[in-house]
Amino acid sequence: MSEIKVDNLTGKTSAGDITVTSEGGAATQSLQQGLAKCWVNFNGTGTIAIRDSLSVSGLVDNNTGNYTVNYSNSMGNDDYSSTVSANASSGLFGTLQSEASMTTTATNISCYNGSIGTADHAVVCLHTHGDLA
Amino acid sequence: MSELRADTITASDGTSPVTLTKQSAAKTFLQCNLSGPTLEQSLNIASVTDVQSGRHEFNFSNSFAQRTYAAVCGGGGDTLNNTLANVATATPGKTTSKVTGDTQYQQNLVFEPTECAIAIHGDLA
Repeated sequence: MSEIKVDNLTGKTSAGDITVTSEGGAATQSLQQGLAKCWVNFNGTGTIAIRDSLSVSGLVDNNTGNYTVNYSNSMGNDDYSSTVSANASSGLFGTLQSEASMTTTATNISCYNGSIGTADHAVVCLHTHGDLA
Repeated sequence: MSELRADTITASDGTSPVTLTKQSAAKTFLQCNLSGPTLEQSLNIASVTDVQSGRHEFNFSNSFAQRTYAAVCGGGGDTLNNTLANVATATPGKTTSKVTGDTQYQQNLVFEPTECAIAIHGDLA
Protein backbone atom coordinates (compact mmCIF):
# COMPACT_ATOMS: atom_id res chain seq x y z
CA MET A 1 0.00 0.00 0.00
CA SER A 2 1.37 3.37 -0.99
CA GLU A 3 0.73 6.51 1.01
CA ILE A 4 1.21 10.19 0.23
CA LYS A 5 1.48 12.54 3.18
CA VAL A 6 0.54 16.07 2.27
CA ASP A 7 -1.10 19.07 3.96
CA ASN A 8 -3.12 20.43 1.04
CA LEU A 9 -4.87 18.86 -1.95
CA THR A 10 -5.64 21.24 -4.82
CA GLY A 11 -7.09 20.50 -8.24
CA LYS A 12 -4.53 20.95 -11.00
CA THR A 13 -6.92 22.06 -13.75
CA SER A 14 -9.50 23.60 -11.43
CA ALA A 15 -8.35 24.31 -7.89
CA GLY A 16 -11.69 23.36 -6.35
CA ASP A 17 -12.29 20.09 -8.22
CA ILE A 18 -10.54 16.78 -7.61
CA THR A 19 -12.12 13.62 -9.02
CA VAL A 20 -12.18 10.37 -7.05
CA THR A 21 -13.20 6.89 -8.20
CA SER A 22 -16.21 5.14 -6.67
CA GLU A 23 -15.85 2.09 -4.43
CA GLY A 24 -17.13 -0.19 -7.17
CA GLY A 25 -15.07 1.50 -9.85
CA ALA A 26 -18.09 2.25 -12.05
CA ALA A 27 -18.27 5.99 -11.47
CA THR A 28 -16.24 9.06 -10.62
CA GLN A 29 -17.27 11.93 -8.41
CA SER A 30 -15.97 15.26 -7.18
CA LEU A 31 -14.19 14.91 -3.85
CA GLN A 32 -14.92 18.48 -2.77
CA GLN A 33 -18.63 18.21 -3.55
CA GLY A 34 -19.05 15.23 -1.27
CA LEU A 35 -17.37 16.69 1.78
CA ALA A 36 -19.57 18.12 4.52
CA LYS A 37 -18.82 21.83 4.72
CA CYS A 38 -20.18 22.18 8.23
CA TRP A 39 -21.27 19.82 11.00
CA VAL A 40 -22.02 20.35 14.65
CA ASN A 41 -23.21 18.41 17.68
CA PHE A 42 -24.44 20.64 20.50
CA ASN A 43 -26.38 20.59 23.74
CA GLY A 44 -29.49 22.69 23.19
CA THR A 45 -30.63 22.74 26.82
CA GLY A 46 -29.76 25.35 29.46
CA THR A 47 -26.70 27.26 28.36
CA ILE A 48 -26.26 25.77 24.93
CA ALA A 49 -22.81 24.38 24.21
CA ILE A 50 -20.98 22.87 21.25
CA ARG A 51 -19.67 19.35 21.84
CA ASP A 52 -17.81 19.09 18.53
CA SER A 53 -17.98 20.87 15.21
CA LEU A 54 -16.48 21.79 11.86
CA SER A 55 -16.67 25.35 10.49
CA VAL A 56 -18.97 26.67 13.21
CA SER A 57 -18.18 30.12 14.60
CA GLY A 58 -20.94 30.14 17.17
CA LEU A 59 -24.47 29.25 18.23
CA VAL A 60 -27.41 31.50 19.12
CA ASP A 61 -30.23 30.36 21.42
CA ASN A 62 -33.14 32.30 19.86
CA ASN A 63 -36.05 30.79 21.71
CA THR A 64 -37.30 27.48 23.04
CA GLY A 65 -36.14 24.84 20.58
CA ASN A 66 -34.90 27.42 18.09
CA TYR A 67 -31.22 27.93 17.36
CA THR A 68 -28.97 29.63 14.83
CA VAL A 69 -25.74 27.97 13.73
CA ASN A 70 -23.22 30.52 12.42
CA TYR A 71 -20.65 29.35 9.87
CA SER A 72 -16.94 30.11 10.04
CA ASN A 73 -16.69 29.84 6.25
CA SER A 74 -19.58 31.27 4.21
CA MET A 75 -21.50 29.12 1.76
CA GLY A 76 -21.54 30.10 -1.92
CA ASN A 77 -25.31 30.61 -1.92
CA ASP A 78 -28.36 29.84 0.22
CA ASP A 79 -29.40 26.74 -1.75
CA TYR A 80 -27.16 24.38 0.20
CA SER A 81 -28.43 21.12 1.71
CA SER A 82 -28.78 20.99 5.50
CA THR A 83 -30.11 18.07 7.50
CA VAL A 84 -30.89 18.27 11.19
CA SER A 85 -31.52 15.68 13.86
CA ALA A 86 -32.55 16.21 17.44
CA ASN A 87 -32.75 13.79 20.31
CA ALA A 88 -34.95 14.42 23.34
CA SER A 89 -33.80 13.26 26.74
CA SER A 90 -37.22 13.66 28.32
CA GLY A 91 -38.73 10.50 26.90
CA LEU A 92 -40.66 12.30 24.18
CA PHE A 93 -39.51 11.55 20.71
CA GLY A 94 -37.53 14.30 19.08
CA THR A 95 -38.66 15.78 15.82
CA LEU A 96 -36.45 17.68 13.47
CA GLN A 97 -36.60 20.50 11.02
CA SER A 98 -34.62 22.97 9.00
CA GLU A 99 -36.47 26.24 8.53
CA ALA A 100 -36.38 28.62 5.59
CA SER A 101 -33.99 31.02 7.25
CA MET A 102 -30.90 29.61 5.54
CA THR A 103 -28.33 32.26 4.61
CA THR A 104 -24.79 31.97 3.35
CA THR A 105 -23.47 32.63 6.85
CA ALA A 106 -25.96 30.82 9.11
CA THR A 107 -28.74 28.25 9.36
CA ASN A 108 -31.71 28.56 11.68
CA ILE A 109 -33.16 25.30 13.01
CA SER A 110 -36.09 24.32 15.21
CA CYS A 111 -36.70 21.26 17.36
CA TYR A 112 -40.03 19.83 18.46
CA ASN A 113 -41.40 17.36 20.95
CA GLY A 114 -43.91 14.60 20.40
CA SER A 115 -46.80 17.04 20.67
CA ILE A 116 -45.32 19.20 17.86
CA GLY A 117 -44.42 21.90 20.35
CA THR A 118 -41.02 23.56 20.30
CA ALA A 119 -38.65 22.11 22.86
CA ASP A 120 -35.00 22.29 23.79
CA HIS A 121 -33.09 19.09 23.05
CA ALA A 122 -30.00 17.67 24.68
CA VAL A 123 -28.49 16.47 21.41
CA VAL A 124 -28.88 18.53 18.24
CA CYS A 125 -26.88 17.74 15.12
CA LEU A 126 -26.63 19.67 11.84
CA HIS A 127 -24.87 18.61 8.61
CA THR A 128 -24.47 21.02 5.70
CA HIS A 129 -23.39 20.03 2.19
CA GLY A 130 -23.01 22.35 -0.79
CA ASP A 131 -20.60 24.87 -2.25
CA LEU A 132 -18.44 27.10 -0.09
CA ALA A 133 -17.94 30.69 -1.23
CA MET B 1 3.43 23.16 4.18
CA SER B 2 3.35 20.70 1.29
CA GLU B 3 0.76 20.74 -1.47
CA LEU B 4 -0.18 18.12 -4.03
CA ARG B 5 -1.93 19.19 -7.24
CA ALA B 6 -3.92 16.57 -9.12
CA ASP B 7 -7.14 16.27 -11.12
CA THR B 8 -7.89 12.68 -10.17
CA ILE B 9 -6.86 10.57 -7.21
CA THR B 10 -6.98 6.77 -7.31
CA ALA B 11 -5.31 4.02 -5.35
CA SER B 12 -1.88 2.80 -6.46
CA ASP B 13 -3.42 0.09 -8.68
CA GLY B 14 -4.84 2.86 -10.85
CA THR B 15 -8.50 1.91 -10.47
CA SER B 16 -9.49 1.39 -6.83
CA PRO B 17 -10.80 4.28 -4.72
CA VAL B 18 -8.29 6.11 -2.61
CA THR B 19 -8.60 5.94 1.15
CA LEU B 20 -9.38 9.23 2.87
CA THR B 21 -7.98 8.66 6.32
CA LYS B 22 -10.58 9.45 8.99
CA GLN B 23 -12.74 11.14 6.34
CA SER B 24 -15.76 10.08 4.32
CA ALA B 25 -17.33 12.07 1.53
CA ALA B 26 -21.09 12.13 1.01
CA LYS B 27 -22.05 10.42 -2.22
CA THR B 28 -25.32 12.30 -2.64
CA PHE B 29 -26.90 15.45 -1.29
CA LEU B 30 -29.78 17.61 -2.42
CA GLN B 31 -31.74 20.68 -1.56
CA CYS B 32 -35.15 20.72 -3.24
CA ASN B 33 -38.24 22.93 -3.26
CA LEU B 34 -40.91 20.24 -3.29
CA SER B 35 -43.71 22.60 -4.26
CA GLY B 36 -42.34 22.47 -7.83
CA PRO B 37 -40.46 20.32 -7.41
CA THR B 38 -37.27 22.28 -8.14
CA LEU B 39 -33.79 20.98 -7.40
CA GLU B 40 -31.84 23.96 -6.04
CA GLN B 41 -28.51 22.26 -5.41
CA SER B 42 -27.45 18.64 -5.62
CA LEU B 43 -24.73 16.07 -6.06
CA ASN B 44 -25.36 12.78 -7.85
CA ILE B 45 -29.03 13.48 -8.56
CA ALA B 46 -30.19 12.96 -12.15
CA SER B 47 -33.83 13.92 -11.66
CA VAL B 48 -36.73 14.19 -9.25
CA THR B 49 -40.10 12.53 -9.77
CA ASP B 50 -43.30 13.88 -8.18
CA VAL B 51 -44.97 10.56 -7.36
CA GLN B 52 -47.91 11.96 -5.42
CA SER B 53 -48.60 14.76 -2.98
CA GLY B 54 -45.96 14.53 -0.27
CA ARG B 55 -43.96 11.78 -1.97
CA HIS B 56 -40.99 12.35 -4.27
CA GLU B 57 -38.42 10.03 -5.81
CA PHE B 58 -34.86 11.29 -6.25
CA ASN B 59 -33.04 9.37 -8.97
CA PHE B 60 -29.27 8.94 -8.71
CA SER B 61 -26.84 9.73 -11.52
CA ASN B 62 -24.53 6.99 -10.26
CA SER B 63 -26.08 3.98 -8.53
CA PHE B 64 -25.12 2.78 -5.08
CA ALA B 65 -23.54 -0.64 -4.64
CA GLN B 66 -26.35 -1.80 -2.33
CA ARG B 67 -29.51 -0.35 -0.81
CA THR B 68 -28.08 -0.29 2.71
CA TYR B 69 -26.62 3.21 2.30
CA ALA B 70 -27.26 5.76 5.06
CA ALA B 71 -29.73 8.49 4.11
CA VAL B 72 -30.85 11.36 6.33
CA CYS B 73 -33.65 13.76 5.46
CA GLY B 74 -34.98 17.08 6.74
CA GLY B 75 -37.74 19.45 5.72
CA GLY B 76 -39.17 22.84 6.56
CA GLY B 77 -39.23 26.42 5.39
CA ASP B 78 -42.94 27.21 5.49
CA THR B 79 -45.49 28.87 7.71
CA LEU B 80 -46.48 25.31 8.59
CA ASN B 81 -43.23 25.19 10.49
CA ASN B 82 -43.72 21.78 12.00
CA THR B 83 -42.93 20.02 8.78
CA LEU B 84 -41.49 16.53 8.98
CA ALA B 85 -39.54 14.77 6.26
CA ASN B 86 -38.52 11.15 6.17
CA VAL B 87 -36.81 8.73 3.83
CA ALA B 88 -39.15 5.90 2.82
CA THR B 89 -36.90 3.02 3.74
CA ALA B 90 -38.98 0.09 2.53
CA THR B 91 -38.37 -1.32 -0.95
CA PRO B 92 -39.10 0.06 -3.53
CA GLY B 93 -38.79 3.44 -1.80
CA LYS B 94 -35.09 3.00 -1.21
CA THR B 95 -33.13 1.24 -3.94
CA THR B 96 -29.64 1.43 -5.41
CA SER B 97 -30.87 3.83 -8.09
CA LYS B 98 -33.27 6.11 -6.19
CA VAL B 99 -34.42 7.25 -2.77
CA THR B 100 -37.96 8.26 -1.86
CA GLY B 101 -38.79 11.14 0.47
CA ASP B 102 -42.10 11.50 2.28
CA THR B 103 -43.14 14.85 3.78
CA GLN B 104 -45.95 15.83 6.07
CA TYR B 105 -46.84 18.22 8.85
CA GLN B 106 -48.41 17.59 12.22
CA GLN B 107 -50.08 14.20 12.35
CA ASN B 108 -49.80 12.52 8.94
CA LEU B 109 -51.09 15.53 7.00
CA VAL B 110 -49.51 15.36 3.56
CA PHE B 111 -47.56 18.46 2.64
CA GLU B 112 -44.86 19.59 0.18
CA PRO B 113 -42.45 22.00 1.89
CA THR B 114 -40.26 24.53 0.12
CA GLU B 115 -37.20 23.16 1.86
CA CYS B 116 -36.26 19.49 1.70
CA ALA B 117 -32.74 18.20 2.14
CA ILE B 118 -31.26 14.71 1.91
CA ALA B 119 -27.67 13.56 2.47
CA ILE B 120 -26.43 10.04 1.77
CA HIS B 121 -23.26 8.20 2.73
CA GLY B 122 -22.35 4.74 1.48
CA ASP B 123 -20.61 2.92 -1.36
CA LEU B 124 -21.25 3.74 -5.00
CA ALA B 125 -21.35 0.88 -7.50
